[in-house]
Amino acid sequence: MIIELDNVTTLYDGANVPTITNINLKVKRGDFIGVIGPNAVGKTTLLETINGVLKASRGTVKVFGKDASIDGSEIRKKVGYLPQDVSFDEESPFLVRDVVLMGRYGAMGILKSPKQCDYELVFNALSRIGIMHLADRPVGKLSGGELQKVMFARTVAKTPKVMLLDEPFNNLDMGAREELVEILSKIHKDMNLTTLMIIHEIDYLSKINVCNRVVLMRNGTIAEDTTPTKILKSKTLVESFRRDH
Amino acid sequence: MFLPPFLLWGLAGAVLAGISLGLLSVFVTQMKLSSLSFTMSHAAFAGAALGMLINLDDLVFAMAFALIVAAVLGPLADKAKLHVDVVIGALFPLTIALAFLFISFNADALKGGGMLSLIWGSILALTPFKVVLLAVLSIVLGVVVFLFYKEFSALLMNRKLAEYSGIKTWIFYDSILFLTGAAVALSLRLLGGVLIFVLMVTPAAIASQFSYDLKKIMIVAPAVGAIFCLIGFYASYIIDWPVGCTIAIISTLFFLISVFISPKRRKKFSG
Ligand SMILES: Nc1ncnc2c1ncn2[C@@H]1O[C@H](COP(=O)(O)OP(=O)(O)O)[C@@H](O)[C@H]1O
Ligand SMILES: [Mg+2]
Repeated sequence: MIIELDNVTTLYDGANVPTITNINLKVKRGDFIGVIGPNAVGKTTLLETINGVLKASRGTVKVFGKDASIDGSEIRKKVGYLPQDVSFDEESPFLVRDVVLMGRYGAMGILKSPKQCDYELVFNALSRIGIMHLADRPVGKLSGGELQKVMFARTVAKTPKVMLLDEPFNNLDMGAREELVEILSKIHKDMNLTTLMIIHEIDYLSKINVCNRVVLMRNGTIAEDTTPTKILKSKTLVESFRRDH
Repeated sequence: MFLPPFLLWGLAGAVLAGISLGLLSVFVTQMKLSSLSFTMSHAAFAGAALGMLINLDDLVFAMAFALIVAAVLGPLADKAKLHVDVVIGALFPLTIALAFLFISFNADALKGGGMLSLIWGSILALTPFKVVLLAVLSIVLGVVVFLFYKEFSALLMNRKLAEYSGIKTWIFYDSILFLTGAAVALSLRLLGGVLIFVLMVTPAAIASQFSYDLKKIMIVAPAVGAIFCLIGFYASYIIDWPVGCTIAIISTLFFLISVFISPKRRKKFSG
């Protein structure tokens, strides 16, 4: 198992009810899991518990066999996490190429400076996602969609073993979404990845056929862990999801 | 050049203070630590006043007060658990009140002695020992930033993203807070407790008017800080104004000019 959550409960500091409760999840190498659920159900919390940014209050989280509450930063070196909202000051003194390169900094390790191959991975990622023309633009001056693609390039350039994508289609129009889905499924296969992707709208599931598994969340728990076809066939599930929305 | 020899230590100290605070100003502005360092410098001010009142070393007290503020406010500012501005707003009057209280308790203050220069600085305040310490600090700061430039630049860009990439950011964040506290405490007597803050923001603010390149900003800001301190020091000697005031006035003047001639702003006007 690449990722293993055993009875995991996560509470934010100062909160008195847990945000996610008793989560059990086993993820095999090569899985592409769609995580679906209404707003505030705990999807982002789940991803951040997996990469160890948030410590599980109960239960254990293991990624690559390491305990996320102890070896969080070691785990994060091999996890490409695309967060939900990122923003930069308009005057931020960083160019797009810097931002993409910096995704690799943790994995490169202390006292090592970027090498030729690091720069090549950056430009490969930029060209794969079709944003080579943005390389020398200040990151604070991008549109929402452009920034979303830059953050995705950052995730890819890191050459992770696991990808955690939090609503990657945010800020993208229909055309760009379809393009991204293609790139995503290709990258997932080419790079031998294990991917968890949060999707906000259930209807979107039918349009993308990249997931081999779907996890449906409700009230901080996993309500269903099944395949996309089963979910879409079950009218009651789709309807109940729409009601929650 | 035309300074009497006994002022040369002070001059060297001023340049070193300009370099170290100038470099730190890049961190302070990019990491949104300006309210934190504002409180820190006034706490150091109160600490130094207390040290002088009880006739003990002002440097030790200034350093202790600055680091206590860093230790208490650092984690709050970091996690944004409560509005930092609120905490700062509550603490700023307290630190200033304490500083003034300690000054007023001190009988020497009334004679216009060393105590008042604590507010606005003095070109005579830096002992050779402090200048040597400032030199050590500047070197340590330069070496640390150079060796860990990769990690620091990631931290400056966005702490959360740096953490996601697998960097243990707290080590770098805390060392910046610590070095800032030390630099403030060491240059406090030269620049004055109220005016030192100008060097913790303005050099980086000026440097970033001209570049989107962090490396260049990190070279220009300390140079700018050093130049301001150099000019301010001479001006203070010649026209006999408090050195904190001359440096603050020069810094602000240059900041206004830089905003006016900044290529970034020009681009904006022409669309
Ligand atoms: N830093 C935080 N501190 C306290 N509560 C939080 C924090 N972040 C999120 N929450 C709460 O946890 C719940 C789940 O949030 P989240 O995981 O972001 O949901 P989702 O990604 O499914 O929309 C929400 O009610 C949210 O308000
Ligand atoms: Mg979310």
